[in-house]
Amino acid sequence: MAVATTVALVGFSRGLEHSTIEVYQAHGIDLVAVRTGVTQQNTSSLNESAGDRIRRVPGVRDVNPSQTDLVSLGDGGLVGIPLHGWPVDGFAMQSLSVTEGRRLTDGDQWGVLLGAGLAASLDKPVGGELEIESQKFKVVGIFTGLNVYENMTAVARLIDVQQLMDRPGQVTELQIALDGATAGDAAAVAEVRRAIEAVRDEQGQKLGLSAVPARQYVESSTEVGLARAMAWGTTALALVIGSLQLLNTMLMSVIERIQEIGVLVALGWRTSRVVRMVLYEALALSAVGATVGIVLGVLLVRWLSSAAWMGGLLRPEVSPEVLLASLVVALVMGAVGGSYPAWRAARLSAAQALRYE
Amino acid sequence: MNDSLSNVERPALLRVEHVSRLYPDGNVTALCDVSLSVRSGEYLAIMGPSGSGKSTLLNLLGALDVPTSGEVYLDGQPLSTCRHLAAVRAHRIGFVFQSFHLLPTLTAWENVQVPMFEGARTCRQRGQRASDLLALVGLTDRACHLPAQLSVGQRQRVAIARALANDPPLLLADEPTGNLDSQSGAAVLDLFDTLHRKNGLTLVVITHSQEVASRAQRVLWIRDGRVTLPQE
Repeated sequence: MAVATTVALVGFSRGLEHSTIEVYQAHGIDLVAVRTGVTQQNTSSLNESAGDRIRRVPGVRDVNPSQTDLVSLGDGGLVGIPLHGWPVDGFAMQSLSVTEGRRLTDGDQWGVLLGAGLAASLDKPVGGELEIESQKFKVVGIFTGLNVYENMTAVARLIDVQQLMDRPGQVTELQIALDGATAGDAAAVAEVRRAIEAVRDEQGQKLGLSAVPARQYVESSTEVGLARAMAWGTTALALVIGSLQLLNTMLMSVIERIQEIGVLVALGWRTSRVVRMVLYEALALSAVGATVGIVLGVLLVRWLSSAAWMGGLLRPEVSPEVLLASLVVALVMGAVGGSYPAWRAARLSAAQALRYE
Repeated sequence: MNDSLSNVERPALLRVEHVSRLYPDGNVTALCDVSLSVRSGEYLAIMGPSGSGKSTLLNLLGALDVPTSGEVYLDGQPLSTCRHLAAVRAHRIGFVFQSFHLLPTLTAWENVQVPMFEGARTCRQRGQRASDLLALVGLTDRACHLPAQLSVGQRQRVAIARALANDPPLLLADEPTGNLDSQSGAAVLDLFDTLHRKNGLTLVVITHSQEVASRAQRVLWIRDGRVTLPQE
């Protein structure tokens, strides 16, 4: 179970991380500018106008101001759905693959685009209405995202989301696309980042921006960090419990076979061989447990990710690294859990063990 | 008593000098100042009532236990100074138990191989040796059977084959026919006779049975932890 938990939880946290990175990359976002020191996406607050100054930085192709918040939809049935507010002519909005209806225009006040998965979960066709934070929105189009994560998002006009969140003129992040030559040159990217971080307002005051590559931004975000920490924290707990269970199993096994071990000692088996036998048995048990746990973990994440109540928000990612780590962890558990029983077995006196009933 | 072999001129394989064994937990003196010697190639029976200290003595002879005082010598070497008693048990001594003590999940052939893991034999050599020994005890056709699929007599013969696995000069048997019917018991004793006569094996057998003792060359009596004179 510990291995299944490792596979499932770590798979989910990695899935969330990689899905988010993919979305940024799919929209052509090279850098993300946020207020310095802010790691939590939804609490960051920047002046939208900073985007105009960043646009003037050499090497920057375009800037997409983005206001994102997590909302509840479907009468509270779906929680934590990202709602993005983007300019209708911004490169992020333009890169959406709208498969039903059309893109948003300046005239679409309180219009919304739904990801295909979200539209299906809410059963909202184009032209339908839905309520977001007590405001009625009309579904203007449905887009097909790159992955499950993006398919469970909604996009509205930036100005509408700012009004809805009562944050006029504010954005949570500035998404930056670099020109082709700059994006492929690490030194040039570093130069652009320095230039963005040095941008000043009309009064000559630094804006206090931090520009980081999209991947780094996602990896260091509080949301992803929390998911990762919870996954590994729960996994660590499961592993401790698993080790104790294995220790108990092996201890029972040794106690039940005291006479048998006594016979082996009487027949001349060295202590080291008896210890190895118990340890190998624990390791074999762990290896079998790990294999079963990996299969269970993979099935569990597949089932969870396809469950209706999960809203399809999570995409599991069971990488070879996670499987290998699970196997190694299981074997370490086996060695730890088998050590004490092995030590007990090694201390058995053959004469006493043979008399043991 | 079988006295077809004369051992008088042979050196002592086992020598016990003033050995006592006290169990402090129960404040019991299981053996008190016991001295005896077993010559190489000798067939010795040790008789005595329950609780007389027979099994304690066998454990000391077999390096399964250490005396509280006194010394046990195997081939002239004091066991108390031996750093590798496991190696002594593996290569110098074969054990046959009353309850056979075969490993229940291993076949007869695999059980016979168990002591051979402490040795330099290859896997193939172990297998061949186990087959040879099963043939010696007349159980070739039972090689692939688990202990539960064998009769008690067959189990004891597998245990004897196992005891001979590393070709030890000394075989210690604790009530080897205690759990057997008379026919199986006789077969086991015949096997002991053969091993003694043809292979020159030194045998020390603990027994209650006068019939078993009658097969030995010499009988020692033990009572209340002390070796006494032979009794009629």
